[in-house]
Amino acid sequence: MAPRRLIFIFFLLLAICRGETSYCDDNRKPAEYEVKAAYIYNFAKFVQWPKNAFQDSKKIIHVCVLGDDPFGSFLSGIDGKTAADKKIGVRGTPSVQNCRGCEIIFISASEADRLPRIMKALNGAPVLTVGDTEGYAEQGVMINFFMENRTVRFEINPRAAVRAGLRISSNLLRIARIVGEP
Amino acid sequence: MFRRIWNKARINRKLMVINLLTTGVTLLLTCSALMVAVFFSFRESLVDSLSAQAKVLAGSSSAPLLFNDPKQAAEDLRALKASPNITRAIIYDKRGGIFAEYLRDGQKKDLSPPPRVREGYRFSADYLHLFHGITLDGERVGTIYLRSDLWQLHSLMLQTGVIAALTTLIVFIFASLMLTRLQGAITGPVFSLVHTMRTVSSDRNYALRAEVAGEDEMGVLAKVFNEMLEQTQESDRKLRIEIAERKRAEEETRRLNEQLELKVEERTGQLLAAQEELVRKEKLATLGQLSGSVGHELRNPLGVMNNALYYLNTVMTDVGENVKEYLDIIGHEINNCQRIITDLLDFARVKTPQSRAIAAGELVADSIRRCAVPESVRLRTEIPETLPMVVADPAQMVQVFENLITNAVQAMPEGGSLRISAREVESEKLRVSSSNQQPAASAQEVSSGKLKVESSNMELGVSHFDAPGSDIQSETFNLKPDADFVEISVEDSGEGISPENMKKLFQPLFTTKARGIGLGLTVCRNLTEANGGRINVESRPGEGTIFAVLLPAERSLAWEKK
Repeated sequence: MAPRRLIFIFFLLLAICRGETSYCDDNRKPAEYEVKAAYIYNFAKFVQWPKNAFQDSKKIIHVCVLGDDPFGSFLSGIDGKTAADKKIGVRGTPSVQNCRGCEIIFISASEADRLPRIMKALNGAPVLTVGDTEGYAEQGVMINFFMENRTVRFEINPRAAVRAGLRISSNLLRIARIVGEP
Repeated sequence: MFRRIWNKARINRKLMVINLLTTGVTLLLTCSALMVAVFFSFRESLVDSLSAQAKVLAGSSSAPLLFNDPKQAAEDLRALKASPNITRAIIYDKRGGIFAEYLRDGQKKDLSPPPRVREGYRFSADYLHLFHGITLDGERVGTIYLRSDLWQLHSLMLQTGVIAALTTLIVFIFASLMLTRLQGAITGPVFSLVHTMRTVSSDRNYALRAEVAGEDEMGVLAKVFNEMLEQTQESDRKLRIEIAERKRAEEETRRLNEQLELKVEERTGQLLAAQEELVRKEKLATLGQLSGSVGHELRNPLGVMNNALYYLNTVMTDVGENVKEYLDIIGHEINNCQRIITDLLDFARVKTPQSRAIAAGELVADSIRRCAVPESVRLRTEIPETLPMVVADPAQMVQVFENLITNAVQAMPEGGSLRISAREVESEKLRVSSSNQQPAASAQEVSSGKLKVESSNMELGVSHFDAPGSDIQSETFNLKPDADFVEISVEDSGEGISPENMKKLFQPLFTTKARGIGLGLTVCRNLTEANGGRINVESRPGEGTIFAVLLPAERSLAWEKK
C-alpha cells in the first residue's frame, strides 16, 4: 500500500479519536485539570521506577490522589492507558499509610499542612509525588504544577526524585523549572 | 565531409584518432559512472545524516510536544544552526499543526509550505525534504520536518566533474605522447613500405626491395610485395628484351625498305637513261644520214670551186697583191669547208680500217707533220724505241692524232708545252680497271679533283652511226682481250676542261670553239674504237688535259722486230 494512503488512514484514525476523546478536541479549550491529568499520564512515560518498586508482576502504575480530588472525572480518563509497557490504574483516595501501593501520588492542595508528615511517611519510597500547590516542590514534592500565562507548567525537584530512586528523563527536566531544596 | 577528411588522413593520424577516441569514450563512461555513483551515494549519505539528525530532534521533541512547550521545541530546533545545510525545520504536533519552526538566517523569504508528505524523504530540484515521526512509547506525538539544501551535493558533483575533466585532459595528453612514441612500431613499417612502393612506381626501378621488419602482418606484406616485385622485375626484363627485339626487327625492315627504294630508284634511273639514250641515238642516226648526204652533195660544188680557183691562180699571175690575198682567203675557206665535210662524212660513216702494224713513233711523226704547231708551243715527243708495233689503220689514226694535237694547240692560245708520249700497258691491268667500272653509270669519276672519262663507256651510241642497220654487239668493244696495248698520250698545259663539259666531251655537235661543228672528238673516238682501241681523258682545270689513246699492240710483230 502506498505511503500516502497509510498517512490518510492515520489522519482518519486521528479524526475518530478526536470525536471520542474530549481532550483531543481542538474546538474546546481543555480544562486545567484535564491538562494536568494528561500530564500526569505523560509523566509516567518520562520517569523510570526502580525495578523493585512494583509489588506484583502486573506492572500497573497506580495513580493515587491524596486529599481532595480536584480532577473530577478527568483522572479516570487516563485509567487503563499504557505508558512504558505499563497500565495506568487510577485508585481512590487512600491515606498516607496506604500510599505504598501507589507509584504516582497526587498530593492535593488540601494536604498542604500535612505535607511534611506525608513526606516523612513516604521517606524515600519509589513513588512519584506530584502536586499543584506553590511551595510543594521546595518541600520535597518531585513535580509541582503551576500556571504561567494561563498555561499549565511544572517544576521539578530532581534531588527528591534521586532520593526516591526515580530517574526522571532529561527531556522532561529540560522543559521543567528546576527547583532545589532550601 | 568527415569521411573525406578521414580518407585523406595518414595512418598515424587515424591510429591516434582511434586510440584517443577509445580512451576518451572509456574515460567518459568511467567518469559518468563514477559521477552517478557519487551522486547517489552522496544523496544516500545526505538522507542518512539528515534522518539521524531528525531522529535526535525527534527524541528531544517528544517532551515539549507532550507538555505543550513550543518555546523549548523552538530552542531545540535552533541547535540546527550547527548544520549549515539545513535551511528549514518544523515540528508538527500530532494533529498536524505547526508546533515549532526553524528557519535558517537569510532564508526568511522562503516560507513555501513543505510538500504534503508526512513520512520519508523526497528530493526536489534544490532541496531534500525529510519527515520523521516523533513517537513516545509507540505513540505518535508529532512529526519533524527537515529541509536540507543540496549545495553540498552540487558542489561535490562540480568537484567530481572538474576532477574528471582534468583527469581526461591529463590522460589525453599522456595518451597522445605515448601513442606518438609507440605507434611507430606499426606506422614505421607501413611508411617504409609505402615509400618503397612509391619509389618503385615512380622510378620504375623493380630492383628495389622493401625492408622486412618482423614476422607480423606488416612483415608478411613486405615479403609478399618483394615477391611481387621480383615477378614484375622478371616480366619487365622479358618485356624489355622483347621490345628491343621488335625494334631491331623494325629497324631491319625499314633498312630493307630503304634499300629497296634505292634499288627501285636506281632501276628507274637506269631505265630513263636507257630511254633517253635510245631517243638520242635515233636523233643522231637521222643526223648522221642527213650530214652524210649533205656532205656528199656539197663536195662536188666545192671541187668545182677549187678547180676554178686553181685556174684563176694560174691565169692571173700579174695581178696586184690585193687580189692575190683575196684569192688565198677563198682557197683557205674552201679547204675549211672540205675539212668540215670530211668531218661530217667521217662522222656519218666510219670506213672499215685497213689495219696493219705500224710503229707508234711513225704515226705521231706523220700527225705532227700535218699540223701547224706555232712557235709559242714547246713540243716534246717521248716515244721509246722498244715499244711494240700497234695494229691500226694509219690514215685513220693520223686523223685522230691530228685532231687531238690541233685541239691541244688551240687550248693553249698563249702558248705552253705539248708533250706526246707512249708506253706499253698490260692487258691484265686494263681488264681489271675496266671491269671495275659500271658500264651504265655516269662516265665521270671524281677523285681528288681528277676527272677521267673513258670513252669505252660511250661506245654504245657511237658505234652504229657508220652502219645503222648492222649488229651493235659486233662492234661495241673491240679491245682484244688477250692483247697488250700501247698508250699514246697527248698532254697539254692549257686551261683544262670543266667537269660539266667533261660529261659532254664526246657528244656529237658539242663544242666550246667559235668555229667548229663539234664532231672532232666524236670522230676521234669512233675511229679509235673502230681500230680496237679507246680514248681516256684526264683533266685538271687550269693545269692541263691528257688525251690517252690506247691501241692494240702487235706482239708477234714486236718480237720479230726485236
